[in-house]
Amino acid sequence: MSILEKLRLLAVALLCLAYAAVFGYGLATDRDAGWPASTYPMFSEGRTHDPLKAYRVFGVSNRQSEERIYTKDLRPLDGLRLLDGLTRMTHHDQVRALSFVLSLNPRFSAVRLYEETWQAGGEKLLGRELIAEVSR
Amino acid sequence: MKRLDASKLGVCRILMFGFALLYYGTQDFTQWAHVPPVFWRPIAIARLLHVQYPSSASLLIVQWIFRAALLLSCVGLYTRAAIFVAGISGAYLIALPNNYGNVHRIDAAFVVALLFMALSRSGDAWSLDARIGKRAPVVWKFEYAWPVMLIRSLLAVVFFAAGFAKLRHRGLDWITTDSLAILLGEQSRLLEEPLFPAAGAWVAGHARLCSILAGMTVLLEISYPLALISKTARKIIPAGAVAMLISIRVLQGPAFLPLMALQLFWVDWPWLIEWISSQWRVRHAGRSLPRTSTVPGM
Repeated sequence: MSILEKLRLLAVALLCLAYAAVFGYGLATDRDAGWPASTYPMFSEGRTHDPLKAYRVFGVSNRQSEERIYTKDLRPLDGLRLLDGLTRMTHHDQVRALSFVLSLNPRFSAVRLYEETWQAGGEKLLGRELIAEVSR
Repeated sequence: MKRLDASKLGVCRILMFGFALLYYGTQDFTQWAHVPPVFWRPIAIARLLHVQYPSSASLLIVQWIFRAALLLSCVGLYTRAAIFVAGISGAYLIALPNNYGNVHRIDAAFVVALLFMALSRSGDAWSLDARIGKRAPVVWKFEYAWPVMLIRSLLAVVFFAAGFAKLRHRGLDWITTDSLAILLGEQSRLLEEPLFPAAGAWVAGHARLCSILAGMTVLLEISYPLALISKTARKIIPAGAVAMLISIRVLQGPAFLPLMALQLFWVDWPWLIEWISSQWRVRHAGRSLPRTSTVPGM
């Protein structure tokens, strides 16, 4: 076996070790240690009957009606990346992010970010607060 | 030295890189250069490797290298170089969107599998390289088995971890309470974009059905490693996992297509191909036999 072949198999072993170490650390400490060695904890917390608080973004049409903004309106972003990103931003950055969303959707005259409170299960809206708005 | 069979790995290479070509090769990664930096939040591995906010020009170059490498890997031309380049460029491009806003775990396992394949000798069979007629290489006796075994083990670890996390965080409450019903209702109505939101909302309205689905999910995820050691489990569990991932897409939203594609590593391709060709031969031979006719009264 040539040296290059041995190096290749060594690289495989190192890749396995690195993955096992990061993944094992995540599993042992109950912390998702990082992509791509994720421990896949999504949805594991489940849900209780507590109300759900979530950011949601709406586009405002020229007739002033609000429409939910879907992933197809956000390419290359998607709904989760937008909303998760917005929850971690300062108000100033939220406005810049919403300006980007508005630039992707010429049919809207404005974009609004709300923090909404829903009954557990998402059947009934309990309240909403306007966090930011960007208009043309 | 005993001649080793590289055909299973060769077929897996064609399918894996063919899928990657259709799924990732058709995506335009240069768009990420136009997303405002306010979304830029590098993941740990990007920070470790000092990955910078990308430029459109650099993404365009990497993207075309990735596409060309995927095509060459799929057909098996200059395979060893092509799969290596596809692995490295693919890992970068597939990781990139996770630096914007939210980390998606949809393709995490696929990237690790891609890196395993990048270091494999998967071009020794079912490839143009092999057809061009080089001598069969002398290789280590597990050379064609380790990539398949590692990718199967990776899948076992991933699914087990997902089931373990549910039991660790909520215990049997994840199954016995209406936790999944509430989650499904919120995901289908408000947060995600399932294929059939009405179906998601309908299932969410039936708490007993949700409990059954939750129990099946956890059982399937926790027992997935059994597929590594039991032939019977191997016939049921990967197919069950595909059905579960399709249900998630239909009712809840996230599309785990790359994770579904990796289930192809469980199929015994040489056996399946031999079976299909033998069936075809039997049918073809039956048709090519001269027809005999009987004349009444003779």
